[in-house]
Amino acid sequence: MRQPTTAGSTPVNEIDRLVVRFPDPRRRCWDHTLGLAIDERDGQKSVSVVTTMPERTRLAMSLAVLCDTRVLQVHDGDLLVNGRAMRPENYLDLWQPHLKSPIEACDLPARGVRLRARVQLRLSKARERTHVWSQYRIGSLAQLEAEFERCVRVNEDFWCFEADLCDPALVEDSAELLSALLGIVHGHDRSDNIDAAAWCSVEASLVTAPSPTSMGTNEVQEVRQARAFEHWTEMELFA
Amino acid sequence: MSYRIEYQYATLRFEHPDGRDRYIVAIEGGDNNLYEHNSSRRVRDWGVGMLGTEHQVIAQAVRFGAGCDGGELRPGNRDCTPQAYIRRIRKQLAATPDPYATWQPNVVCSNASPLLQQAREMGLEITPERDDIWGRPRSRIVISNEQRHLVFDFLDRHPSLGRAPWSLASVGGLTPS
Repeated sequence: MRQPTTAGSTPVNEIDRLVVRFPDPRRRCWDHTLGLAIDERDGQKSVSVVTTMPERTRLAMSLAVLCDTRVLQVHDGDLLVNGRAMRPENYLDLWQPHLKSPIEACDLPARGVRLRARVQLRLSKARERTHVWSQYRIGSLAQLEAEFERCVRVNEDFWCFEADLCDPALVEDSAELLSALLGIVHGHDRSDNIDAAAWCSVEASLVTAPSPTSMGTNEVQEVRQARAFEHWTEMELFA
Repeated sequence: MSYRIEYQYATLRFEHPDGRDRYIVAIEGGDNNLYEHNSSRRVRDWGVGMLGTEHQVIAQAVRFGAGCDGGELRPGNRDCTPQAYIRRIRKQLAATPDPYATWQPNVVCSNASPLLQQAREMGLEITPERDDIWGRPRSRIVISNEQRHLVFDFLDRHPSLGRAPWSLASVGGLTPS
């Protein structure tokens, strides 16, 4: 259990929360959901991806995921909700309606949030990677590259991928894209065979309103990155 | 998919020498797909579900209550939300302690656990356990009833012990359902 907040350090204040759904209208894979929390600390706003990965090939937001992370922070007083301390059970009640009625990714910019999927693979190993499900439609990086050519960038050492998940042009493809990325990048990795240079992340950032000086482009205020996978931590005392 | 059913709850209160009350939430539970021999009754037994200060117990309820969301944990064999489970345990802490319930230290841990080193430094007796988990040998730290407050001291010093409180103590004197 975490230690209670010590005097002097400012607790984080959660001011809003969102659940984003990436539906697959073509029924080629499963839907993905992602939880986002908008926090404030010392007057600075930031957004966090609160979903950790219960499975290595799927983004799935649930109350169970929250219990292991932010609910314990609320319980320890490290996380306030709209400036107030809250009981963990009441905090979970706040998320329930968002889980029941998730929003679409293309609605996020109107809420001031941008989501990006990013991937980096060492070039020497990238071409060997295949999807963990042998029958998956996008089964290799070559096929992924063919489908989403505009998002791929290759340099001397790395195969890189970057896509704006809020892009309306990606609405119908985003679920399949995420399934392909996660399945190819992490599907075959086991704890004894991790390619340290391989990662797939979904990053959330807050955007401010366009300012006259920024020529109408959105200015990224703060970026919080959450790696899409965290390796299971063994229980240190009993395992 | 198998799941755990919780049938009954009982609370025990312990006056720790440090002046802060500690609680043991005993739970009678068992797997949904294990039945007694020659019977249609599911196997169940009493064990320690959570223990520690009120704060520690609720933190453990948050972790274990997460299982309600996926249906892995069903109190009373009914669907339950994590928040309802936490409320249930909070209510249990406020309930009158069971006068017939008893508890005793039952500290079993992996041989790699830092708890063993601490126990050695304290001069406590350590005996090897015959069974192991996934091939990892375990040991028992022998604690007398007079020293049973040490269970809570261990938990204060090693908060991750709260992930498996049933490995710290056992309960008795509770009526089976």
